[in-house]
Amino acid sequence: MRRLYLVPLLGLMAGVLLGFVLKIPIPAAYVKYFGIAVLAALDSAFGGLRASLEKNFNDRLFVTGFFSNTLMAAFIVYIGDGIGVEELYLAAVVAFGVRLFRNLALIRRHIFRSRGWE
Amino acid sequence: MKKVKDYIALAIVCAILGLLLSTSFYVHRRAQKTSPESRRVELISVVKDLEQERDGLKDDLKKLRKEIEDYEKEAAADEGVLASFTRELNNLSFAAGLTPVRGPGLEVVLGDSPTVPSGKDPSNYIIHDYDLRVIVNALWGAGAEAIAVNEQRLVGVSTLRCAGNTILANSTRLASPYRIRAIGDPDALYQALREDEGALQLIDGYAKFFGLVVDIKKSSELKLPSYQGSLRIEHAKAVRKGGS
Repeated sequence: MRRLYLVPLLGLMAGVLLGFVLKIPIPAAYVKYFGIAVLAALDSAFGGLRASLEKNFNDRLFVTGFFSNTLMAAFIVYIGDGIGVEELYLAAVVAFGVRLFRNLALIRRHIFRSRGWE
Repeated sequence: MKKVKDYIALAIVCAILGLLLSTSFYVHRRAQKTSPESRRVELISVVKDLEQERDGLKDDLKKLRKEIEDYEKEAAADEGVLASFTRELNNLSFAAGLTPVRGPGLEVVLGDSPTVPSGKDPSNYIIHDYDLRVIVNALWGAGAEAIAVNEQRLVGVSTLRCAGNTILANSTRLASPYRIRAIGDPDALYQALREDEGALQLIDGYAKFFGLVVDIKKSSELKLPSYQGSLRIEHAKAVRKGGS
């Protein structure tokens, strides 16, 4: 049971490999939305990691959050472009970026605390 | 068992995250490789290479033509039938523009405007390929016997066209100022430019309005280079007299 944390890691590696093998061609026009979606996905993943360290991880919340965050992020940036507010892209980058770094900091703190390094 | 389920959910999500990440990396790298900027750098080097190759081939051509000329001279020394062939050959290569020529004529210099006022469309202030064509056509129309633009002799297969922001004559890049030299009756050539509607519009209209450089000079002695390009005929075949 102790080695269970390797399962998500294996999943991540499998996904990366699959991506490099499949080489899915994203049309240039959608690269921007795709990038935002990736950022949102990354944010969700770190959020999930943090939640599991804080012992309040909920698998359903995590899975639905991951997909809805990813899709909504891309969709909202798309809407922004549609209504001529391209800067919405920046807002998304900043919002996800801030959350990403905060989650990283919290994860680090949890690890320190659980090992008694603090 | 709740824990195991959690990890499976995490694994699936992580797999999708990995897929998204690697696809994103791949797409981004590809986009950088095909960006206009790097394409341009690549294309510029391709053009430079091709131009170098072409210049090399031109030199080869020149050498071969010289060789042929030597043979012809040798042949000319012989009497009889060969001599008449040689005469005909000389006449034909003269008519085809394969020999340098000299004679009286007209020299027209066209140049881009030295200054472009800010905020104005710069394309109005430069000489275009069609400007050169207007002048050249007017000169041919007035009975010019030989025309060269800068160092490019115009012959039957010559082109004057625009590629990007440069003008090509015989597929060789030209730069402003453009010197059009035509051999013919200087007065007739000059008069033709005063009567041609397109030429007048350029010389008296656009040139004065936009500050383009125009300089027209009659000359009693002009020297025009020979045509250096290829005359290869690949698709056309001669029609025999009396044949279908």
